[in-house]
Amino acid sequence: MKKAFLHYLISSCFLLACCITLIVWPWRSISEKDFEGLKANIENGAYIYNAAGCHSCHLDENKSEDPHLLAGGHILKSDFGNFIVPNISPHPIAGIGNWTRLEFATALVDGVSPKGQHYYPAFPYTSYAQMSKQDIVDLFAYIKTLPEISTPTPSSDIKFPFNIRLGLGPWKLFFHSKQGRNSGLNNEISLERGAYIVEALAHCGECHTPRSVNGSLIHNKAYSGVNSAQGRGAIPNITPHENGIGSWSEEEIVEYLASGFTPEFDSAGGNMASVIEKTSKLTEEDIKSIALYLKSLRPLP
Amino acid sequence: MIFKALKTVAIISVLSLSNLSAIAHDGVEMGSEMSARHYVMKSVASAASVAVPMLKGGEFDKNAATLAAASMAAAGNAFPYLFTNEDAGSEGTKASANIWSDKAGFDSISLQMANAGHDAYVAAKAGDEEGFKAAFGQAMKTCRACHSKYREK
Repeated sequence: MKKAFLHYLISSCFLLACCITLIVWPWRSISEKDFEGLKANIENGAYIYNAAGCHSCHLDENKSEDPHLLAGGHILKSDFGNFIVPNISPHPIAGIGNWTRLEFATALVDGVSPKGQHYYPAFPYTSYAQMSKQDIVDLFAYIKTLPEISTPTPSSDIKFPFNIRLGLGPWKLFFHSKQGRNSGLNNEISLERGAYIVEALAHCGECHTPRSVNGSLIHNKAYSGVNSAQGRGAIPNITPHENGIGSWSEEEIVEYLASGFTPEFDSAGGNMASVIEKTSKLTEEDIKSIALYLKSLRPLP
Repeated sequence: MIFKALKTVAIISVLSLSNLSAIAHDGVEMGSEMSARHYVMKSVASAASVAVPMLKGGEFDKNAATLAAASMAAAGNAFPYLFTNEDAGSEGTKASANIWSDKAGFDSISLQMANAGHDAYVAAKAGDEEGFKAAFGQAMKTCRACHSKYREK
């Protein structure tokens, strides 16, 4: 009797451990096969680098304003603690110089580091996972051409229990779809291209979509703005609702993304000014595609 | 003394050029330094709304261009004197703490705006359409450059 109970106990503990492992395990969804035959185009990589705004976070703006120096060190403050943005320059020790193309892609798509650790979604892999494989290959090749910086990254200061990275396993199960997206044609104005830039590359929703208490984006309130996230002031609603940019024409959205001037001739400030710095370098077709896509969003108050 | 007089002249010229009827309706309390900033900012927006159609190839109106450029120059000259109270983070302002921690940088970019506005003024007054467009464009570039560092959101 005793033996049977012990047997039962051990096997249920084992089963439970298996289930927990399955949930918290940093699963990888891609392999080298996904990239077979893809040749890197560094010029497109530079374009993607700008559109994805890698340097918005990975640049150490206290040391340099050169958008090619990915020293990291920028602090992202959140309710979960302070995330310190890492060095992703091609330095072999301090940066990602020793990473393979697959490891880089795994970071973007699965949010998993080469050491097999989950990344916090402060790194917007929930958006980058939608990038096309070609763009990932090009971006990696471009970052490899940038200057190496030897500054090591200090560790982030995350509050308990969020500092346990394994906890991100179940989070990803619910909130990270890893669904790819068609990149559309980059020389044509289309909804598909606009969606690709807004959702996958420029990750507009990471700021403009409200988040739930667990830090995930609330998709049925997409782009309706956030009252007060990081720092002060509200992040505006960018849906075509009267509380958002419903009164803006497509031309006015294009003008804003190209020059930073609103229809009332206010000029973007703070983080958005830094975003305009990037959108202003996109091709005319791509800016128009973004405007087309924003106008097609569901109007939300 | 001369400094103070210059400051007053700069502010008065901005206010006289700005769209006063718009200001009267926006409900900002008169008198405080913060509201003065808002008026001057509005004068810049008004100047831009006059000049931008010309910059985009619309008909060049010498008088309107001259006034718009003067307004830009005056605002650029006024900004360094409109942020004496360190009030970053308080109600009603988007001013960033960077203005006070890096006053020299803030003043320098204001001066760039003033100088470009002045160049645009001289060109417009002489009927030099291309010169006006180039200089006014430069003045407008300082809007984003300044807002990205010295304004929240």
